[in-house]
Amino acid sequence: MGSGCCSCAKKIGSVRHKDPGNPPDIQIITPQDEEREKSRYWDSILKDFSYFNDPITHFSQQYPSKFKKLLISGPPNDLRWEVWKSTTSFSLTKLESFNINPEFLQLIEKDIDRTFPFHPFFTDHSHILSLGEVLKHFVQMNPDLGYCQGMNYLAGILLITSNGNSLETSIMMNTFIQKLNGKGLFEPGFTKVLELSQAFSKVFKEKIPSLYNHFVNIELDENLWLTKWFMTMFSYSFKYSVVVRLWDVILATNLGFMVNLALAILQSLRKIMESKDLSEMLEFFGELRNFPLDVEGIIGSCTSLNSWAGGNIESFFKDTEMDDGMADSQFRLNLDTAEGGQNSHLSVNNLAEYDGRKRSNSLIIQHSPKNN
Amino acid sequence: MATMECKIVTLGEGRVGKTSLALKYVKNEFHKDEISTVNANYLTKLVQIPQGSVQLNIWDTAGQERFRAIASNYYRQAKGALIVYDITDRKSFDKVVSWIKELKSQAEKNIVIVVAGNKCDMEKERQINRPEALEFCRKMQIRHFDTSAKSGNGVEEMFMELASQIFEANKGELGQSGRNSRRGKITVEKTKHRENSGKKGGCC
Repeated sequence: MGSGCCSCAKKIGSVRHKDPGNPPDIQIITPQDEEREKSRYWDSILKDFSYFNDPITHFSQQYPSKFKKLLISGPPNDLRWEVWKSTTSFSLTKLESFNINPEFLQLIEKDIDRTFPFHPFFTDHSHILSLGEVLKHFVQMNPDLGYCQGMNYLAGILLITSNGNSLETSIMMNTFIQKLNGKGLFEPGFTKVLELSQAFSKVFKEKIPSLYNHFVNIELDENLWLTKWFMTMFSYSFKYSVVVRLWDVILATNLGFMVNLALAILQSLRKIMESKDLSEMLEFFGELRNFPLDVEGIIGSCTSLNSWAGGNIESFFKDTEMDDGMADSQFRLNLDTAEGGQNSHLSVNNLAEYDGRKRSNSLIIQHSPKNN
Repeated sequence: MATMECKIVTLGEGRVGKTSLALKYVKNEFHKDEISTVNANYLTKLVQIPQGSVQLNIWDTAGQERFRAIASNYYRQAKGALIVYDITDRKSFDKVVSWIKELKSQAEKNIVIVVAGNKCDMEKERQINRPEALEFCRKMQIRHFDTSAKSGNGVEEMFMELASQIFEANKGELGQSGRNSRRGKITVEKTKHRENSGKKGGCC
């Protein structure tokens, strides 16, 4: 590698140009490298904020836009739970024992062992029981909302992310739905789902007309895919590693941003989808969980982030202090996606660009920064 | 021979085996831990019957009451309905009654209904008296089938019966128009001209 600086020889994004006249150095960064680099970065944040009880929450309060940016870039997997807790104003409280409508109780019992039955986490029977606990506590806390099929998938993702911590997940399930204002995903009438679907249809027609027309021609009903995506926040249809990344972004923005994400997913699959008839398409939608989706590319295409946003740790605090406002403006365009997806200025400007971009799942080519 | 395309809908309480029955029939697959359905799934199969062939476009719906508002969109324009209960679950049989009432008052007049008492491989845990179920369906003039999505017992016969009854009930309208919706949302019925007007394609 062309780094002349031994102290940062191993650091991604910190390569100096010896000769400014030459083209920039290019480093090839694997996802493993990226994960390692993320961990190192977050470790240093934890260290710097270690005098607080809850370093991540303090960091998020002190540097909100940097935090948001890092969340969109994806926290390291082992820190994701703590990071999500910080975004949802989680606080550990004592749980009441539950006394809920027996009809909901039955529904929950019927769903818990058929929630992600293919995921290794749920081969452990104790985790299935924990899932039941989480859902019952949620209903206890939201008696008006009750239990609705679909919630089990949200709770399932949370439980896996907390590594089976049923107490924390029970509280989180509630704060998570509150933070996202997500009751409308499950209320009778499914108001939020309908609202999002309408907002989606509008931009879909406008931004990807060829695929929109194809869907119309094969008479694809959005109840068979889109409402599932929205109602379960993608968890029913995509694999865990993809879902948590999409949720990072949704937590950093709002539920309305699901419209952008759905659009970006379709854009990335447009060519494949346009050749499919109705049966093939439904088969494909059902198999998306196993499809090697370029989730980072998808997120990048609707957030202007092409790769991990951490950058050089040495200059981090300097950057943050100087650029906190800047970082926000970089996102403003995209994060403006109005609450509830009801807006006419959804930002999908980068979609066309994304379609043409070659970015494999396993290889990220990152240009070293110009000023370092 | 004539091919008729029609929409059918699966209805019934949660976890009685609606998805499993449809999957067993269409793909000959059975998963012990079938993932619970959110909203609806769609499967399609071409069935040969002595009179002709019928393409069954199956809308497999989620069981929870809350999805009923959406489910009504599915049974609208459906030519057939498969109402499923679990023979080991008393409550699921009680739901059959309310589904039949709803279909009789809300769905197409000539909708063909069949009832499946599913999980008949679990005879030991049976909670529904079989003669009681048969008597009930006889009064309603609805065919009842003992099925097991697990073993496949009764599944083929049930769908065949559904297909031929639908064919009989609708053959008068066959050939009246060549334009059918592919999903079978609208088939051989008069409203389809309105539905499909201005739309190209969708014709099989």
